Amino acid sequence: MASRQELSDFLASVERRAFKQAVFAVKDDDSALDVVQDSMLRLSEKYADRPPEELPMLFQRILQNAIRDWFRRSKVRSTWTTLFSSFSSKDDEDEFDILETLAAEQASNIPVAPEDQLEQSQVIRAIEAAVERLPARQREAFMLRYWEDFDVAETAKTMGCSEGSVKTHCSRAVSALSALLRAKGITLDSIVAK
Amino acid sequence: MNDKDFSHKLISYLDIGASQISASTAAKLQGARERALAAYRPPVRVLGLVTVSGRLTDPSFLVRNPLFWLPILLLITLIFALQPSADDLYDETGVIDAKLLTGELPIDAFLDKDFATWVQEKEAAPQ
Repeated sequence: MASRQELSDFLASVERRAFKQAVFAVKDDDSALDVVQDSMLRLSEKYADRPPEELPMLFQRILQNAIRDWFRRSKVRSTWTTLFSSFSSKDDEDEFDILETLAAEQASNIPVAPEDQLEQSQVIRAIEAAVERLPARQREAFMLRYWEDFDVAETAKTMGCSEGSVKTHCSRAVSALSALLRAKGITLDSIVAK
Repeated sequence: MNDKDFSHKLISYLDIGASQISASTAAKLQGARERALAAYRPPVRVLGLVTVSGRLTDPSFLVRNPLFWLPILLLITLIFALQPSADDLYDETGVIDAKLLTGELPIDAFLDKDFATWVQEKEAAPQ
């Protein structure tokens, strides 16, 4: 069973990735924070008696369910707000404050000269935008398999699908990301080689 | 570059992106984590056999959790369902006595009607 310290360490290790995953899915920072907070709370309240090694899969399952719940709730909300949707801005994804990013913590081992940093930020933004554009299941499979480093069986169990489906989703996700980035003139070979 | 290499390079950029979230978002995430940890109850043993979350020892959790009330409701329903009806509390003779006294039954209610029927049949039968 996980101790309080183990749970705390685990949550600290996954919270940023979980937040990003939620942002990619719901495309809104505040909603993503709510989703992550609900997921953390649910894990802490209901699964504290589970061994620490089960926490990553449990948390991912809770997180993905919380994201799906968010979409269900927003679908209900949208029935009431459809009439007013024409007044809302549609260019949210263009809102990117480079200064905020520059002020944030640096955990990168890639060169940090100003021009490199700017280019790196642009590449990251392009990659994140491409990930956001993936179909939900492909994004989920890609994130679990490569970002969370789950194996195929763990990913399948978390997603509630077959291992074959996971492989298909991952393969399609990689192809789509590659095509999306190439369309923007970004090849990871050239960036990393710098 | 194969899928795996491509993915790992891409993930390294996503890691950088995750590490560069704004200070305010990082603070909110930390707050969320602390709230989640405040809800943590250390697992406890019940009767030395079952390991359950410590939340079961929290009276407010018991009151709020519908699963806690379900067996209690079932037990109450079962008790009411198995209650003997009022008629079962009295024996039949007592009931007939009461009905005789209140005039609901004729005075020969205790007579053996089967005997009268047997006599009639005996008389009607050819000798």
